[in-house]
Amino acid sequence: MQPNIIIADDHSIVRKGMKFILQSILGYNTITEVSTCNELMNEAVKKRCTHLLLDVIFPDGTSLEVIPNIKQLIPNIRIVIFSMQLPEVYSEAFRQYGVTNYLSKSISEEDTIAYLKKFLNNETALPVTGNMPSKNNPFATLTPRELEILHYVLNGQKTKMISHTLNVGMSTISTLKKRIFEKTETDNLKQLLELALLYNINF
Amino acid sequence: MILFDISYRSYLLYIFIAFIVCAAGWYFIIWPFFKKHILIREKLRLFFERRNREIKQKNEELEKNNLIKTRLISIISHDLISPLKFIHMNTKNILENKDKMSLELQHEILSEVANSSKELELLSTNILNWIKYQNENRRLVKEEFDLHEMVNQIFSIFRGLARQKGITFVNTIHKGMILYQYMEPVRIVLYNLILNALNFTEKGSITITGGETKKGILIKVKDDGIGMTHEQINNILSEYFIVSSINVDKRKGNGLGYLIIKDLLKLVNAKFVIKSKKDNGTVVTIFLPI
Repeated sequence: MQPNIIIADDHSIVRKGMKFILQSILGYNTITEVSTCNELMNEAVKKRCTHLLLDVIFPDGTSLEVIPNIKQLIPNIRIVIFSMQLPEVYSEAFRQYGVTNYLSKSISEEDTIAYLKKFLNNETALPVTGNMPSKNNPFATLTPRELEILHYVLNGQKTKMISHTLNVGMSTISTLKKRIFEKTETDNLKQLLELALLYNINF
Repeated sequence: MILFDISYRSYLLYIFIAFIVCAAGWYFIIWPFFKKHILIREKLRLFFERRNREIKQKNEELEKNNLIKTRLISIISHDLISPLKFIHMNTKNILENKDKMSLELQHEILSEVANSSKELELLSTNILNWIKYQNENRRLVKEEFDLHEMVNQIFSIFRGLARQKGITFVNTIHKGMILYQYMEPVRIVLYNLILNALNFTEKGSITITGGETKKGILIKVKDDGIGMTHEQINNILSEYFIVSSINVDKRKGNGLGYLIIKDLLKLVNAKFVIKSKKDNGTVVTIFLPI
Protein backbone atom coordinates (compact mmCIF):
# COMPACT_ATOMS: atom_id res chain seq x y z
CA MET A 1 0.00 0.00 0.00
CA GLN A 2 1.26 3.44 -0.90
CA PRO A 3 2.02 5.35 2.31
CA ASN A 4 -0.19 8.32 3.04
CA ILE A 5 2.19 10.79 4.62
CA ILE A 6 1.51 13.84 6.78
CA ILE A 7 4.19 16.42 7.62
CA ALA A 8 3.54 18.45 10.78
CA ASP A 9 5.91 21.36 11.28
CA ASP A 10 5.28 25.02 12.00
CA HIS A 11 7.87 26.27 9.49
CA SER A 12 6.61 25.99 5.94
CA ILE A 13 10.14 26.07 4.54
CA VAL A 14 10.91 22.92 6.54
CA ARG A 15 7.78 21.24 5.20
CA LYS A 16 8.78 22.07 1.63
CA GLY A 17 12.24 20.62 2.19
CA MET A 18 10.76 17.38 3.46
CA LYS A 19 8.18 17.34 0.72
CA PHE A 20 10.97 17.55 -1.83
CA ILE A 21 12.81 14.59 -0.30
CA LEU A 22 9.66 12.49 -0.08
CA GLN A 23 8.33 13.38 -3.52
CA SER A 24 11.32 13.83 -5.79
CA ILE A 25 13.89 11.55 -4.20
CA LEU A 26 11.82 8.82 -2.58
CA GLY A 27 8.88 9.01 -4.99
CA TYR A 28 5.92 9.29 -2.61
CA ASN A 29 3.11 11.48 -3.82
CA THR A 30 0.35 11.53 -1.22
CA ILE A 31 1.64 14.17 1.16
CA THR A 32 -0.33 16.48 3.44
CA GLU A 33 1.18 19.46 5.23
CA VAL A 34 -0.05 20.87 8.54
CA SER A 35 1.36 23.59 10.79
CA THR A 36 -0.50 23.26 14.10
CA CYS A 37 -1.59 20.49 16.48
CA ASN A 38 -5.19 21.32 15.76
CA GLU A 39 -4.83 20.97 12.00
CA LEU A 40 -2.89 17.78 12.52
CA MET A 41 -5.72 16.17 14.46
CA ASN A 42 -8.25 17.12 11.81
CA GLU A 43 -6.23 16.20 8.73
CA ALA A 44 -4.69 12.98 10.04
CA VAL A 45 -8.11 11.48 10.61
CA LYS A 46 -9.74 12.94 7.50
CA LYS A 47 -6.97 11.78 5.15
CA ARG A 48 -6.43 8.46 6.96
CA CYS A 49 -2.72 8.92 7.21
CA THR A 50 -0.37 5.99 7.64
CA HIS A 51 2.91 7.82 8.31
CA LEU A 52 3.49 10.96 10.34
CA LEU A 53 6.55 13.21 10.43
CA LEU A 54 6.13 15.17 13.62
CA ASP A 55 7.92 18.21 15.03
CA VAL A 56 7.90 18.72 18.82
CA ILE A 57 7.00 22.36 19.44
CA PHE A 58 3.96 23.92 17.77
CA PRO A 59 2.39 27.32 18.22
CA ASP A 60 -0.59 25.69 19.92
CA GLY A 61 1.18 23.17 22.11
CA THR A 62 3.61 20.26 21.99
CA SER A 63 3.31 16.96 20.18
CA LEU A 64 3.50 15.16 23.54
CA GLU A 65 -0.07 16.31 24.07
CA VAL A 66 -1.42 15.00 20.76
CA ILE A 67 0.31 11.65 20.36
CA PRO A 68 -1.96 9.73 22.77
CA ASN A 69 -5.02 11.08 20.94
CA ILE A 70 -3.67 10.30 17.49
CA LYS A 71 -2.72 6.79 18.52
CA GLN A 72 -6.21 6.25 19.82
CA LEU A 73 -7.84 7.48 16.63
CA ILE A 74 -5.43 5.79 14.20
CA PRO A 75 -3.86 2.86 16.06
CA ASN A 76 -1.68 1.71 13.16
CA ILE A 77 -0.09 5.05 12.32
CA ARG A 78 3.71 5.10 12.18
CA ILE A 79 5.21 8.20 13.73
CA VAL A 80 8.71 9.65 13.50
CA ILE A 81 9.71 12.65 15.57
CA PHE A 82 11.53 15.14 13.38
CA SER A 83 12.92 17.96 15.46
CA MET A 84 15.75 20.27 16.47
CA GLN A 85 15.17 19.17 20.08
CA LEU A 86 17.82 16.93 21.57
CA PRO A 87 16.98 13.21 21.42
CA GLU A 88 18.58 12.62 24.83
CA VAL A 89 15.89 14.79 26.39
CA TYR A 90 12.85 13.87 24.36
CA SER A 91 13.35 10.40 22.86
CA GLU A 92 12.75 8.59 26.16
CA ALA A 93 9.54 10.54 26.76
CA PHE A 94 8.27 9.69 23.29
CA ARG A 95 9.24 6.07 23.79
CA GLN A 96 6.96 6.00 26.81
CA TYR A 97 4.17 7.13 24.50
CA GLY A 98 5.06 4.32 22.09
CA VAL A 99 7.00 6.36 19.55
CA THR A 100 10.51 5.02 19.10
CA ASN A 101 11.55 6.72 15.87
CA TYR A 102 13.48 9.91 16.38
CA LEU A 103 15.08 11.79 13.50
CA SER A 104 17.09 14.85 14.48
CA LYS A 105 16.92 17.89 12.21
CA SER A 106 20.58 18.50 12.81
CA ILE A 107 21.88 15.51 10.86
CA SER A 108 22.97 15.60 7.23
CA GLU A 109 20.58 15.43 4.32
CA GLU A 110 21.92 12.04 3.14
CA ASP A 111 21.34 10.50 6.55
CA THR A 112 17.89 12.03 6.68
CA ILE A 113 17.01 10.49 3.32
CA ALA A 114 18.37 7.09 4.32
CA TYR A 115 16.43 7.20 7.57
CA LEU A 116 13.17 8.21 5.94
CA LYS A 117 13.53 5.47 3.35
CA LYS A 118 13.70 2.84 6.08
CA PHE A 119 10.91 4.50 8.01
CA LEU A 120 8.56 4.50 5.03
CA ASN A 121 9.46 0.91 4.20
CA ASN A 122 8.14 0.06 7.66
CA GLU A 123 11.47 -1.20 8.93
CA THR A 124 11.50 -1.47 12.70
CA ALA A 125 14.13 -0.75 15.33
CA LEU A 126 15.54 2.33 13.66
CA PRO A 127 18.42 3.89 15.57
CA VAL A 128 17.90 7.20 17.31
CA THR A 129 19.81 9.79 15.30
CA GLY A 130 21.51 12.93 16.44
CA ASN A 131 24.77 14.30 17.68
CA MET A 132 26.72 12.80 20.55
CA PRO A 133 24.32 12.96 23.48
CA SER A 134 25.40 14.76 26.60
CA LYS A 135 25.41 12.19 29.41
CA ASN A 136 24.05 14.29 32.19
CA ASN A 137 21.52 16.61 30.68
CA PRO A 138 19.39 17.51 33.71
CA PHE A 139 16.28 17.60 31.53
CA ALA A 140 16.72 13.97 30.42
CA THR A 141 15.20 12.71 33.66
CA LEU A 142 11.87 14.45 33.12
CA THR A 143 8.79 12.35 32.42
CA PRO A 144 6.59 13.03 29.37
CA ARG A 145 4.09 14.88 31.54
CA GLU A 146 6.81 17.03 33.08
CA LEU A 147 8.26 17.86 29.65
CA GLU A 148 4.79 18.93 28.55
CA ILE A 149 4.50 21.31 31.48
CA LEU A 150 8.11 22.45 31.05
CA HIS A 151 7.24 23.90 27.64
CA TYR A 152 4.54 26.13 29.13
CA VAL A 153 6.59 27.06 32.18
CA LEU A 154 9.50 28.20 30.01
CA ASN A 155 7.07 30.28 28.01
CA GLY A 156 6.21 32.18 31.15
CA GLN A 157 2.74 30.81 31.68
CA LYS A 158 1.32 30.82 35.18
CA THR A 159 -0.07 27.68 36.80
CA LYS A 160 -3.64 28.86 36.30
CA MET A 161 -3.16 29.35 32.57
CA ILE A 162 -1.44 25.99 32.08
CA SER A 163 -4.24 24.30 33.96
CA HIS A 164 -6.70 26.05 31.69
CA THR A 165 -4.86 25.17 28.45
CA LEU A 166 -4.29 21.52 29.27
CA ASN A 167 -7.55 21.08 31.14
CA VAL A 168 -5.77 19.64 34.15
CA GLY A 169 -6.27 20.60 37.81
CA MET A 170 -4.15 23.39 39.29
CA SER A 171 -2.77 21.17 42.07
CA THR A 172 -1.53 18.59 39.55
CA ILE A 173 0.26 21.33 37.60
CA SER A 174 1.81 22.71 40.80
CA THR A 175 3.12 19.28 41.76
CA LEU A 176 4.57 18.69 38.30
CA LYS A 177 6.17 22.14 38.36
CA LYS A 178 7.69 21.46 41.75
CA ARG A 179 9.14 18.21 40.46
CA ILE A 180 10.66 19.96 37.43
CA PHE A 181 12.42 22.43 39.72
CA GLU A 182 13.57 19.61 41.99
CA LYS A 183 14.93 17.42 39.22
CA THR A 184 16.78 20.27 37.52
CA GLU A 185 17.94 21.62 40.89
CA THR A 186 16.74 25.13 40.16
CA ASP A 187 15.01 27.55 42.50
CA ASN A 188 13.18 29.87 40.16
CA LEU A 189 12.11 30.49 36.59
CA LYS A 190 15.19 32.54 35.81
CA GLN A 191 17.55 29.71 36.71
CA LEU A 192 15.38 27.22 34.86
CA LEU A 193 15.44 29.38 31.71
CA GLU A 194 19.20 29.71 31.84
CA LEU A 195 19.64 26.00 32.33
CA ALA A 196 17.28 25.31 29.43
CA LEU A 197 19.35 27.52 27.15
CA LEU A 198 22.57 25.92 28.26
CA TYR A 199 21.22 22.46 27.46
CA ASN A 200 19.60 23.52 24.19
CA ILE A 201 15.99 23.10 25.12
CA ASN A 202 13.89 25.08 22.69
CA PHE A 203 10.59 26.43 23.83
CA MET B 1 10.32 72.05 115.52
CA ILE B 2 11.06 75.38 113.86
CA LEU B 3 14.64 74.44 113.25
CA PHE B 4 13.59 71.27 111.70
CA ASP B 5 11.09 73.09 109.56
CA ILE B 6 13.74 75.46 108.16
CA SER B 7 16.22 72.77 107.36
CA TYR B 8 13.46 70.73 105.78
CA ARG B 9 12.49 73.64 103.49
CA SER B 10 16.07 74.39 102.47
CA TYR B 11 16.50 70.74 101.86
CA LEU B 12 13.59 70.84 99.46
CA LEU B 13 15.09 73.96 97.88
CA TYR B 14 18.42 72.24 97.32
CA ILE B 15 16.68 69.35 95.70
CA PHE B 16 14.74 71.73 93.53
CA ILE B 17 17.88 73.63 92.47
CA ALA B 18 19.70 70.41 91.81
CA PHE B 19 16.80 69.26 89.71
CA ILE B 20 16.80 72.52 87.69
CA VAL B 21 20.53 72.22 87.10
CA CYS B 22 20.17 68.67 85.94
CA ALA B 23 17.30 69.50 83.62
CA ALA B 24 19.17 72.46 82.15
CA GLY B 25 22.28 70.36 81.75
CA TRP B 26 20.33 67.67 80.01
CA TYR B 27 18.51 70.13 77.82
CA PHE B 28 21.57 72.19 76.81
CA ILE B 29 24.30 69.58 76.68
CA ILE B 30 23.03 66.06 76.35
CA TRP B 31 19.82 66.57 74.39
CA PRO B 32 21.45 68.49 71.50
CA PHE B 33 23.90 65.68 71.23
CA PHE B 34 21.12 63.13 71.21
CA LYS B 35 19.06 65.17 68.82
CA LYS B 36 21.93 65.35 66.40
CA HIS B 37 22.49 61.68 66.78
CA ILE B 38 18.83 60.84 66.14
CA LEU B 39 18.68 63.15 63.15
CA ILE B 40 21.75 61.56 61.62
CA ARG B 41 20.32 58.13 62.18
CA GLU B 42 17.05 59.15 60.58
CA LYS B 43 18.89 60.64 57.61
CA LEU B 44 21.00 57.55 57.21
CA ARG B 45 17.93 55.35 57.38
CA LEU B 46 16.20 57.34 54.66
CA PHE B 47 19.36 57.33 52.57
CA PHE B 48 19.74 53.57 52.78
CA GLU B 49 16.08 53.02 52.10
CA ARG B 50 16.34 55.08 48.93
CA ARG B 51 19.49 53.31 47.88
CA ASN B 52 17.86 49.97 48.52
CA ARG B 53 14.90 50.93 46.41
CA GLU B 54 17.20 52.03 43.61
CA ILE B 55 19.22 48.85 43.74
CA LYS B 56 16.07 46.77 43.79
CA GLN B 57 14.70 48.63 40.80
CA LYS B 58 17.99 48.28 38.94
CA ASN B 59 18.00 44.60 39.77
CA GLU B 60 14.49 44.12 38.48
CA GLU B 61 15.44 45.89 35.28
CA LEU B 62 18.51 43.73 34.83
CA GLU B 63 16.49 40.63 35.50
CA LYS B 64 13.92 41.69 32.96
CA ASN B 65 16.64 42.34 30.40
CA ASN B 66 18.07 38.96 31.14
CA LEU B 67 14.75 37.29 30.52
CA ILE B 68 14.40 39.15 27.24
CA LYS B 69 17.84 37.93 26.24
CA THR B 70 16.94 34.34 27.04
CA ARG B 71 13.79 34.75 24.99
CA LEU B 72 15.80 36.17 22.11
CA ILE B 73 18.25 33.29 22.16
CA SER B 74 15.35 30.88 21.96
CA ILE B 75 13.85 32.82 19.05
CA ILE B 76 17.17 32.84 17.24
CA SER B 77 17.60 29.09 17.55
CA HIS B 78 14.04 28.19 16.63
CA ASP B 79 13.02 30.87 14.16
CA LEU B 80 16.30 31.80 12.52
CA ILE B 81 18.63 28.82 12.42
CA SER B 82 16.32 26.04 11.33
CA PRO B 83 14.59 28.07 8.56
CA LEU B 84 18.01 29.11 7.27
CA LYS B 85 19.17 25.51 7.22
CA PHE B 86 16.16 24.53 5.15
CA ILE B 87 16.38 27.51 2.81
CA HIS B 88 19.88 26.36 2.04
CA MET B 89 18.80 22.77 1.55
CA ASN B 90 15.87 23.72 -0.69
CA THR B 91 17.78 26.04 -2.98
CA LYS B 92 20.66 23.58 -3.26
CA ASN B 93 18.18 20.91 -4.30
CA ILE B 94 16.62 23.11 -6.93
CA LEU B 95 20.07 23.76 -8.37
CA GLU B 96 21.16 20.12 -8.32
CA ASN B 97 17.99 18.13 -8.81
CA LYS B 98 15.91 20.34 -11.03
CA ASP B 99 15.23 17.53 -13.50
CA LYS B 100 13.77 15.25 -10.81
CA MET B 101 11.31 17.87 -9.61
CA SER B 102 7.95 18.71 -11.02
CA LEU B 103 7.60 22.31 -12.13
CA GLU B 104 4.83 22.71 -9.63
CA LEU B 105 7.01 21.64 -6.70
CA GLN B 106 9.84 23.86 -7.90
CA HIS B 107 7.52 26.80 -7.94
CA GLU B 108 6.12 25.92 -4.52
CA ILE B 109 9.58 25.67 -3.00
CA LEU B 110 10.84 28.87 -4.61
CA SER B 111 7.91 30.92 -3.39
CA GLU B 112 8.44 29.49 0.09
CA VAL B 113 12.11 30.44 -0.03
CA ALA B 114 11.04 33.97 -0.98
CA ASN B 115 8.53 34.16 1.89
CA SER B 116 10.82 32.66 4.49
CA SER B 117 13.76 34.85 3.65
CA LYS B 118 11.52 37.91 3.90
CA GLU B 119 10.31 36.74 7.30
CA LEU B 120 13.88 36.21 8.41
CA GLU B 121 14.79 39.69 7.25
CA LEU B 122 11.93 41.22 9.26
CA LEU B 123 12.76 39.18 12.33
CA SER B 124 16.47 40.03 12.23
CA THR B 125 15.64 43.71 11.75
CA ASN B 126 13.51 43.57 14.85
CA ILE B 127 16.09 41.78 16.96
CA LEU B 128 18.57 44.43 15.91
CA ASN B 129 16.03 47.14 16.78
CA TRP B 130 15.81 45.88 20.29
CA ILE B 131 19.53 45.39 20.82
CA LYS B 132 20.30 48.91 19.57
CA TYR B 133 18.32 50.48 22.38
CA GLN B 134 19.84 48.42 25.18
CA ASN B 135 22.84 50.68 25.54
CA GLU B 136 22.60 52.53 28.87
CA ASN B 137 24.36 55.59 27.58
CA ARG B 138 22.29 56.03 24.46
CA ARG B 139 21.63 59.66 23.80
CA LEU B 140 18.24 60.32 22.33
CA VAL B 141 17.66 63.55 20.47
CA LYS B 142 14.46 64.85 19.00
CA GLU B 143 14.49 65.83 15.36
CA GLU B 144 12.12 67.02 12.69
CA PHE B 145 10.62 64.56 10.25
CA ASP B 146 7.67 64.11 7.91
CA LEU B 147 5.24 61.57 9.41
CA HIS B 148 3.35 61.05 6.14
CA GLU B 149 6.59 60.12 4.40
CA MET B 150 7.67 57.85 7.24
CA VAL B 151 4.42 55.87 7.12
CA ASN B 152 4.72 55.51 3.34
CA GLN B 153 8.25 54.22 3.75
CA ILE B 154 7.18 51.57 6.26
CA PHE B 155 4.26 50.60 4.02
CA SER B 156 6.67 50.01 1.17
CA ILE B 157 8.63 47.45 3.23
CA PHE B 158 5.45 45.41 3.68
CA ARG B 159 3.92 46.05 0.24
CA GLY B 160 4.70 42.55 -1.04
CA LEU B 161 3.22 40.77 1.97
CA ALA B 162 0.09 42.93 1.86
CA ARG B 163 -0.43 42.30 -1.84
CA GLN B 164 -0.21 38.55 -1.27
CA LYS B 165 -2.96 38.69 1.34
CA GLY B 166 -5.02 41.26 -0.55
CA ILE B 167 -4.80 43.86 2.20
CA THR B 168 -4.81 47.56 1.34
CA PHE B 169 -2.77 50.17 3.14
CA VAL B 170 -4.32 53.57 3.84
CA ASN B 171 -2.27 56.54 4.97
CA THR B 172 -4.60 59.36 6.02
CA ILE B 173 -1.92 61.48 7.63
CA HIS B 174 -1.92 64.70 5.67
CA LYS B 175 1.05 65.41 3.50
CA GLY B 176 3.72 67.49 5.11
CA MET B 177 2.80 66.80 8.73
CA ILE B 178 6.10 67.57 10.42
CA LEU B 179 6.82 66.18 13.87
CA TYR B 180 9.56 67.16 16.26
CA GLN B 181 10.06 63.83 17.99
CA TYR B 182 12.43 60.94 18.56
CA MET B 183 12.41 59.75 14.98
CA GLU B 184 13.97 56.29 15.19
CA PRO B 185 11.85 55.02 18.12
CA VAL B 186 8.67 56.29 16.45
CA ARG B 187 9.63 54.52 13.23
CA ILE B 188 10.37 51.22 14.98
CA VAL B 189 7.12 51.35 16.97
CA LEU B 190 5.06 52.03 13.84
CA TYR B 191 6.95 49.30 11.97
CA ASN B 192 6.00 46.79 14.65
CA LEU B 193 2.39 47.92 14.94
CA ILE B 194 1.91 47.64 11.18
CA LEU B 195 3.64 44.25 11.08
CA ASN B 196 1.34 43.01 13.86
CA ALA B 197 -1.72 44.34 12.07
CA LEU B 198 -0.61 42.60 8.89
CA ASN B 199 0.04 39.28 10.64
CA PHE B 200 -3.38 39.15 12.21
CA THR B 201 -5.51 40.48 9.37
CA GLU B 202 -6.83 38.24 6.60
CA LYS B 203 -8.67 40.76 4.48
CA GLY B 204 -9.56 44.44 4.55
CA SER B 205 -7.31 47.38 5.21
CA ILE B 206 -4.78 48.81 7.59
CA THR B 207 -5.23 52.52 8.22
CA ILE B 208 -2.90 54.99 9.86
CA THR B 209 -4.27 58.30 11.13
CA GLY B 210 -2.52 61.09 12.93
CA GLY B 211 -3.66 64.07 14.94
CA GLU B 212 -2.34 66.80 17.19
CA THR B 213 -3.57 67.94 20.58
CA LYS B 214 -2.18 70.66 22.83
CA LYS B 215 -0.23 68.13 24.82
CA GLY B 216 1.11 65.89 22.10
CA ILE B 217 0.73 63.80 18.98
CA LEU B 218 -1.72 60.93 18.53
CA ILE B 219 -1.09 58.23 15.95
CA LYS B 220 -3.62 55.47 15.31
CA VAL B 221 -3.02 52.12 13.63
CA LYS B 222 -6.30 50.46 12.75
CA ASP B 223 -6.84 47.04 11.17
CA ASP B 224 -9.75 44.79 10.18
CA GLY B 225 -8.10 41.73 11.69
CA ILE B 226 -9.16 39.01 14.09
CA GLY B 227 -8.96 41.32 17.09
CA MET B 228 -8.07 40.48 20.65
CA THR B 229 -9.98 39.52 23.77
CA HIS B 230 -9.75 41.51 26.97
CA GLU B 231 -7.54 38.79 28.38
CA GLN B 232 -5.14 38.93 25.45
CA ILE B 233 -4.81 42.71 25.79
CA ASN B 234 -4.11 42.41 29.52
CA ASN B 235 -1.56 39.78 28.73
CA ILE B 236 0.27 42.16 26.40
CA LEU B 237 0.21 44.97 28.94
CA SER B 238 1.41 42.78 31.80
CA GLU B 239 4.97 42.95 33.01
CA TYR B 240 5.28 39.20 32.63
CA PHE B 241 4.62 39.44 28.93
CA ILE B 242 8.34 39.51 28.31
CA VAL B 243 8.77 35.78 28.49
CA SER B 244 5.44 34.81 27.10
CA SER B 245 4.99 33.78 23.53
CA ILE B 246 1.35 33.00 23.88
CA ASN B 247 -0.09 33.18 20.48
CA VAL B 248 -3.12 35.03 19.44
CA ASP B 249 -5.58 32.38 18.30
CA LYS B 250 -2.88 29.76 17.94
CA ARG B 251 -1.12 31.82 15.34
CA LYS B 252 2.56 32.17 15.29
CA GLY B 253 3.93 35.11 17.17
CA ASN B 254 7.00 35.34 19.30
CA GLY B 255 5.93 38.31 21.37
CA LEU B 256 8.94 40.28 20.27
CA GLY B 257 6.92 43.06 18.62
CA TYR B 258 5.08 44.32 21.67
CA LEU B 259 8.17 43.82 23.77
CA ILE B 260 9.99 46.33 21.60
CA ILE B 261 6.99 48.65 21.38
CA LYS B 262 6.61 48.79 25.15
CA ASP B 263 10.31 49.22 25.75
CA LEU B 264 10.71 52.08 23.28
CA LEU B 265 7.55 53.94 24.24
CA LYS B 266 8.65 53.90 27.86
CA LEU B 267 12.01 55.26 26.81
CA VAL B 268 10.45 58.32 25.15
CA ASN B 269 7.71 58.78 27.80
CA ALA B 270 4.98 57.91 25.36
CA LYS B 271 1.81 55.95 26.09
CA PHE B 272 -0.33 53.55 24.14
CA VAL B 273 -3.86 52.22 24.26
CA ILE B 274 -5.24 49.08 22.63
CA LYS B 275 -8.90 48.94 21.69
CA SER B 276 -10.09 45.70 20.24
CA LYS B 277 -12.86 43.19 20.10
CA LYS B 278 -12.69 39.58 19.06
CA ASP B 279 -13.23 39.35 15.27
CA ASN B 280 -13.75 43.09 15.07
CA GLY B 281 -10.36 44.56 14.32
CA THR B 282 -7.90 46.37 16.53
CA VAL B 283 -7.02 50.03 17.01
CA VAL B 284 -3.77 50.89 18.71
CA THR B 285 -3.30 54.55 19.61
CA ILE B 286 0.05 55.93 20.64
CA PHE B 287 0.44 59.27 22.35
CA LEU B 288 3.73 61.16 22.05
CA PRO B 289 4.02 64.07 24.48
CA ILE B 290 5.46 67.31 23.12
